[in-house]
Amino acid sequence: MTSLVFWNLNQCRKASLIAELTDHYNVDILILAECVITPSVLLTELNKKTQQFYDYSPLSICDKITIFTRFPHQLIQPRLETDRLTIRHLTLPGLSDILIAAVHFPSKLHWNDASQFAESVNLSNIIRIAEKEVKHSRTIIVGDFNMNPFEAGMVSANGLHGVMTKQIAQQRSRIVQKTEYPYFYNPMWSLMGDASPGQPGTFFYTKAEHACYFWNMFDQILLRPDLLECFDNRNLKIIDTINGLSLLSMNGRPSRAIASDHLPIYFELYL
Amino acid sequence: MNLTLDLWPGDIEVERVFAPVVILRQQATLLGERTKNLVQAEVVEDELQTNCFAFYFFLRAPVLGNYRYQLMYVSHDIGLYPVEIKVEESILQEVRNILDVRTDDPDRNLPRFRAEPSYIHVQSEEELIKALRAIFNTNKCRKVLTALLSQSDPTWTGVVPVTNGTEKYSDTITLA
Repeated sequence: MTSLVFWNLNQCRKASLIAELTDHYNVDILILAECVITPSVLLTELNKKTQQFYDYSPLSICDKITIFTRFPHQLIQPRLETDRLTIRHLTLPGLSDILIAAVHFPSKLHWNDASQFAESVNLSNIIRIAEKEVKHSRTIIVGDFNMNPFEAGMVSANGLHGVMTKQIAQQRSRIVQKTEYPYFYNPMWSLMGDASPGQPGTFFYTKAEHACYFWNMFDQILLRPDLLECFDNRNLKIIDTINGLSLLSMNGRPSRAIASDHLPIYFELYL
Repeated sequence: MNLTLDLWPGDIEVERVFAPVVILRQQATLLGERTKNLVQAEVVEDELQTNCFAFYFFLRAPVLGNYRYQLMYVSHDIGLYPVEIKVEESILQEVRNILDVRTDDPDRNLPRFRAEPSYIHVQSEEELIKALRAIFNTNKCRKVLTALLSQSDPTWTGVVPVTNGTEKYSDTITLA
């Protein structure tokens, strides 16, 4: 089993809290967005509490995503990057290799819906280029998409094509206007709202306008159909406490004062 | 009696214009020559793009497991020019004062620092050459090249200087 955490830190500098997170949740792969802590500083902190030392790939040039792993960085080499995306090739000995794409999309404060959709199309195409290179589509995408699972960029066929059930994803692809588009399964649909286990979203935002979702599920993981067997929804959770410390303010929202305005997401893969 | 009518215009042999992809591929070839193939550039057509012609321009390091970094995304319609070049924010900031940078939605009332997403608008072949030169000379592009070269070959001491043979590619595009 490989455990992964994604967290948009929103420039939180509490390295010891991040180390507490990796220790408490036994994290193998830590993926961070908006990390302003120098990798060497964070690496030192992460390795204070563990016998399985964390490593960091010096090859990555991606500005927005930082990844630490509890195995040598040679086993998770960057294959394709932009300033906001890193696609890593995870090649653990004796296990099926997979691609892990980690992304931090531009904020809704900066980009409108049409631009975010266009960027989703671009991301989808780049992932397919990377998949063509490794000759398989055992791929996950994880990150802060700054879009909810139901938005056009996340669900459109030429975007990320993330569907809400495994049953649909198992059909692998569908054809629209004579072009075939492969699916992703987006398990975050199941974690939205009050009836879900845990918090109703990963990011809270309110504004005095008519349409307001309050809770948003901007931080997501999506899996290609080839990885569905490696994933159990019960092992996907939104983290709201780290070793007894709540990441929420008194009114139950993610707190920047405590850590970040985004909550981390945890999931496991059985490769 | 010859009944064949030639309906084509008499001045069909117009001035030749090089397609953007030709210029991109030439520059890709040159980078490999200049770095002894430690870092190459690669032009990949966006096959899913149905509305226009579009190409990814990657920097690639063969000895680093074929690592690729996307430097830009270039698109144009059947008329070849104008061309849109999408680059990351840091590159855009560096070239903003010397190239024609436009926003997708100019009517959107955003503060200046939030005027995203933007792209470089290129009207002609000459402007494309100017834009590519500017992009290749940005600090970000140099930083990526340095990182890839340094890690590909720790003994690497510097890029092969421009020779007379390659200089001509910089100003006058010639087909191989």
